[in-house]
Amino acid sequence: MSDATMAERLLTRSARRPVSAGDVVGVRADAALGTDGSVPMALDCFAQINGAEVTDEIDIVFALDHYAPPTSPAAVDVHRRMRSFASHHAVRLYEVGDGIGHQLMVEHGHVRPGTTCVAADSHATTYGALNAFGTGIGSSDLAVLMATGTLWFGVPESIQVELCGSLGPDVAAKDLALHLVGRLGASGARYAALEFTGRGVEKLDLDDRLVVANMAVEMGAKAGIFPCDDRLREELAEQDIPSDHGITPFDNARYMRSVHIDLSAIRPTIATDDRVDATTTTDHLAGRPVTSCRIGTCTGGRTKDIRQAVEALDTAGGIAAGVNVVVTPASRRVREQLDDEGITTRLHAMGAQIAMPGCGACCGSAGDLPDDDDIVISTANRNYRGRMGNPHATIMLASPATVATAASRGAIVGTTDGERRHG
Amino acid sequence: MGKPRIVRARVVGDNIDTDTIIASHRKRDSPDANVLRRYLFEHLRPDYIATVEPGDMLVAGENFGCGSAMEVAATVIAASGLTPMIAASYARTFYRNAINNGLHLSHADTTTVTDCAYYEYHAAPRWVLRPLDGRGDDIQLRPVTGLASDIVAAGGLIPYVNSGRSLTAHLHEP
Repeated sequence: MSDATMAERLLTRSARRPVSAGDVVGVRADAALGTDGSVPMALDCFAQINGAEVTDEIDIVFALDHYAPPTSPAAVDVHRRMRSFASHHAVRLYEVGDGIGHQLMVEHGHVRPGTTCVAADSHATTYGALNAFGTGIGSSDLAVLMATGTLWFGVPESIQVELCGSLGPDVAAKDLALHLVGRLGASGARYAALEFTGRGVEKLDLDDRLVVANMAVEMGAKAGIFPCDDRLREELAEQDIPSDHGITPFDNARYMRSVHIDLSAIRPTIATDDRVDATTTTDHLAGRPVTSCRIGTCTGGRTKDIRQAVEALDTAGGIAAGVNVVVTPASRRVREQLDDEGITTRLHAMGAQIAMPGCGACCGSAGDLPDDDDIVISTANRNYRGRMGNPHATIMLASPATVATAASRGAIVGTTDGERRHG
Repeated sequence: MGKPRIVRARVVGDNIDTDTIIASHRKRDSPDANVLRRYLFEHLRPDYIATVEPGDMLVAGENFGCGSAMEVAATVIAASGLTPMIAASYARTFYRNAINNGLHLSHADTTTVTDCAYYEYHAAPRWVLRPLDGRGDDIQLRPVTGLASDIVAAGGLIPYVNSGRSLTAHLHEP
């Protein structure tokens, strides 16, 4: 098996037999997340399973994150049902305001290297940052998983993303993620796993890897897997998360395709035109007006992201008149860190709204909806028309620093050397 | 085996995401696919659902159902009567949810399928879509296979499990 990919090796462990790309296999998962977006249907499905009890063989987690806070009687009812089920069946439930489920899975040690961790939410690819096979499943899957601990998978082929160099000073992991999406396209990794290799990987910290793995699904990927290298082991050790089952790629693993990226060549990047893969550099869009700026989500709402945003805002002299800025920390813990560092106070003073941790500002399920003529720039992962709950609003995606500098001028700001080049 | 079905193709394009199939905020009020079907493709083609007739079949391009993994995207199509459906390719979460809900779907090169044209849909064992006017070649369908086709045949994942079968039978073998 010396030419097996990380995806094949992780699923081999979960299937407890050797598997390779193309096989359709039953596996036992290690952890699973359900959210208020997916659990209601899962509970209906669960009730249809003959004699179902919740298995204690896997770690099952619920998060009340999409409708946080709930703004309709139906959403309140969903939360009541989830709380009731969780307390009856000893399921770990994170409350409204605790944060985005994916962030909580990572922060609270539910995801560990070498495991298979799924969520009934597509951004479960995030877990690949911790060297887990992380992928999105449906509500029926979650119901069967709760009852049996098992689910079925097609074992994916893998695309190698080989990284070299390191990111420039004004360039973030989000720029790498958007660059990669632009390069592979919105379906360029469909059914496949992305596997990150090369000397550039160690230049990315866990927060960076979470951003990139999170957006693997925007290329259609089933998973986006980083190796369990020394840097990951050290960061997890600080949080007392064991990494004994972590793996690193074999040198002669079989990949369906390889993509090479020099991190030092990545420029600040933006996705436009209702398409996550319609990417270009900030220099090409400099001067384009924006009216609403959002910093948050499971892609760009961690402490590092918001720190970068507030520093960029400070440097640029605060928020421009007439620009709406909504900051949504990814979790309560992130919010507390920001409070401790005085960042929330600074953002408040500049006129930003600080929203309750959750998914609302990203998918229009709670919180501030954009207006018809709003041009939004967000640290989120999706800019489909209507994504934020208003089909008339325009959405662009960028890094925290790019979003913050746009907030300072009410327009996209190019890089300093880009302005020099373009006059 | 049976006789071919006459179907009318209702074509949508490439990269149709699940929020376009059904806006995610719609499911806040009801998860019931028979309610949500009224909003199928509402932003893409406001007239689409009102003009669906019995025998219509959904035909899509590449990467159908990309974006959010919400399962209602599959159940709303199952409830719309637009099945079986075909697409050049599916996003994996949509494909998985479709199989788990017993939605009959297959892969095919859909580039020559014409919106609102009529076809003969031949299921097993032939698996072809044949233009009814005799013009154009048969389009080969690539059906779901293996464990996934067993789940579709059972009517979905829950009926499959309820029939007493285990996804990980191999773990229990001696």
